[in-house]
Amino acid sequence: MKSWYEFWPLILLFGLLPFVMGLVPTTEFKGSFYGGGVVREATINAATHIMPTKEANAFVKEFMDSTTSGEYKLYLPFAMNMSLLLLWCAYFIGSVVMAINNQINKRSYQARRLSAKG
Amino acid sequence: MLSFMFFISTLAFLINTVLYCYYINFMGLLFLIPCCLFTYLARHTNGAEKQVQIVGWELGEGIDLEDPDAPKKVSVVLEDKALNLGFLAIGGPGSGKTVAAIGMLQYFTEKRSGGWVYWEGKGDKDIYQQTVSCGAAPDKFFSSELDHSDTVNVIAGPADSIIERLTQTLIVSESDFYRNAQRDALRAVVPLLKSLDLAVNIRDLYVLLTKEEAAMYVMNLARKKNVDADIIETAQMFLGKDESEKAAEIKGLLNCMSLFVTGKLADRLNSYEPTLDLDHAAKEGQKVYMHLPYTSLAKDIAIMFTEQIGVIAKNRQLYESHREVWPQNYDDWGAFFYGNFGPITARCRSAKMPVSFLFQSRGQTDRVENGNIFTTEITDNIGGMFILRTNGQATAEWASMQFGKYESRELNSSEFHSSISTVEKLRVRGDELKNLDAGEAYLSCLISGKNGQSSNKRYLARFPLPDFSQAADIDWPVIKTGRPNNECEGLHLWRDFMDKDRLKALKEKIIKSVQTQNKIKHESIETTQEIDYI
Repeated sequence: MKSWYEFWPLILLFGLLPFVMGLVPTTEFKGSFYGGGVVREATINAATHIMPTKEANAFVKEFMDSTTSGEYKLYLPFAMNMSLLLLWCAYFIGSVVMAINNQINKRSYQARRLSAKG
Repeated sequence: MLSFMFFISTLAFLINTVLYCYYINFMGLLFLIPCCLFTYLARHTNGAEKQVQIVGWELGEGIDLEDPDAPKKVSVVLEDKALNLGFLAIGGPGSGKTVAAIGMLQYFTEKRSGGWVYWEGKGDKDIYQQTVSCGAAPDKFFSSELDHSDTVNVIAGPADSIIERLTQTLIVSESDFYRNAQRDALRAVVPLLKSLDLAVNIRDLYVLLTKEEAAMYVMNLARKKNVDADIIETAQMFLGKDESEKAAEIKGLLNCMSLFVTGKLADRLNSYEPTLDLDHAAKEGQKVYMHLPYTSLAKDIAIMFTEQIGVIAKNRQLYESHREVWPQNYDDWGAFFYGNFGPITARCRSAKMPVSFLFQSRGQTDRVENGNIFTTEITDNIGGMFILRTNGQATAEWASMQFGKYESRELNSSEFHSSISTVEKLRVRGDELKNLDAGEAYLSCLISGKNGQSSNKRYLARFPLPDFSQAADIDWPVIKTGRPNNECEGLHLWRDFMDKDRLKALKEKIIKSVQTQNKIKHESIETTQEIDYI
C-alpha cells in the first residue's frame, strides 16, 4: 500500500523546482540557454502581461537595473505562485498513482486470501 | 495531506495579498477570497477537526493499539458515555485497580459534580484515606465494622422488596418445606407491618414473630387503622397458628434474623430515622461509601442494600424522567454476589446507575452465578474493559482475547523469491498483561465519532495517580447517628415488648383503658335501656 509517507519527496521536488530553476546558473546547451537568468527573465516578461502598465514598466526597469540577487528577489513572488501550481499538480499525480496502486494491491490481497481459504 | 495543501495555498495567497496591496493597489485584497476559502478547506479536511470533542476522564498519553504493528501515541480519554455504561476492571493484587477506582471517584466528584456509591469489599483504612485525600470525600459513610457510621434501616422500602431481600438473606434452610413456610411467614407479616403507616425495623418484625402479645397488639392496631381486610386476614392466618407449630416453621428464619436485631451493629441497622437513606441519596445524587469488609454478616447487609438499589433502579426507570447518573462501583465484590445480582445490575444500567466491577481474576466473575453467564453478560453490557496486570495464565489469556485480533503482514524471503503473507494475530498477548506496571492497563472502550457513530478503541495507558499526599492525616469519619429510636415515631415493638417492666406497664395501661371503655359502654347501655324504658 502506498501512502504520502512514500510520496512526500515528489511534493517537495515539485515545490522547490521553480525556486531552484531561478537560482541555478544560466547554462548553454546546443546553442540555447537554460536556467537562471533566462527563467527569471521569461517569468518577469510573462508577469508584466497581467500587471497594470504603470507598475509593469516600473517593475521591468527595476529588474533591468538590479543585480543577480536583486533579480532573484523580484522573481521570488512569481516562483512562489508557480510552485503552488506545481504542488497541486504533484498532489493530483500522487493521489492518482496511490489510488491505482492501492486498488491493485487490495484486489491482489483479496484474491490471494480467497484462494488461500479455498 | 490535503489539509496541508490547502494550508500552503492559504499562505501563498496571503503573501500575494500583501505584496499586491503594497506594490500595486488595494485590488490585491481580492486575494483574500481564495485565502479564506483555503483556510476553511484546510480546517474542514483536517483529521483532528473531524474528531468529535470527547468529554470524559482524561488519562493522559497512551498508545492506540488499532494496529499494534504501527502503534500511535494518542491522548486517551475515557468518554462519559462509555463510563455511564459501567466498566469491568481486572487486575491482580497491587496492579492498581483500587487506585484507578479512586481516580474515577475523583473524576465523578470534581468534573461531573455527581454522586456515586463505592461498594468497598476490602475494608482497608488506606482506601478510605486515599478517597478522601484526593477530594472524593463521601457524603454518607456506612460501615459494617466501625462503631461510627451512618445509620440505616435495612427493611426500608416497599413490602415486596423487603420480602425479597429477607428471603435472600434470612431463609437458608435446605428443606423446601421450611423454606416455603418461612417465605409464607414473611409474606403474611411484612405487608401487615408496612400497612400500619409507621416506621418499622427488623427488630419489630422479630418481636412480631416471637411475641404473642406483640402480634395481638399489631393486629388490633391494624384494625384500628383500617388496614385492608385481606392483609389482616392473611396475617391472622399465620399469627393465629399454634405457637409450637409456628416456632418450628420459622426457627431458622429467627436464628438468621437475630444477627440483625442484637449487638452493636443492630442499632445502626434498625434506625427509625436513618441518616443514610439510599432512596434519598439516589435522588440527591449523594456520594456514598459502603465500607463492608467481607464477613457473613457483611454479605447479608450487602444483599439488603443491593435489593434496595434494585428498587431504586426500578423507580428511576418507571417514574423519573430526568434522572442523573449515579454510578455504582463495586471493588473486590466477588464474594458478595448472590442469585439476584445479575437482574438488579441489568436494571441499574438502564436506570442510569452504571455498575462497574473491579475483580482480581476472571474466576470471580465466573463464580457469580455458578457459570460463565455473568462474565459474558457484563462483558457484553459494559462500556469499557480495563485489564491491569494479571497474575494467572488463564485470566491473562482470557483477557487478551477480549482485545480481539488484527491482520498483520509478514514478508517471507528466500534466496530466490520473496512473498508477503497476511496473518491474524492477537492484538494483546497474554504474556504482555503479566508485565504491566502498577496502574498501567490495556483499555477497550467505546468512543463517539462524528454523526453519532461510535467505535471500540483499544489503548495501552496508565491511570493517573490522584493526590494522596494528605492521606496519612485522615482518620475514619466520626458521624452523628441522628436521633435514637426512643425519640422517634415508630412501631416500637422491640422497646415495648422486649422489656418486662415496660410490657407490664403497657398491659396495665391497656387493661385500664379497656375497663374505662367498658364502664362508658355499660353506662351508655343503661342510658339506652332507660331511653327504651321511657
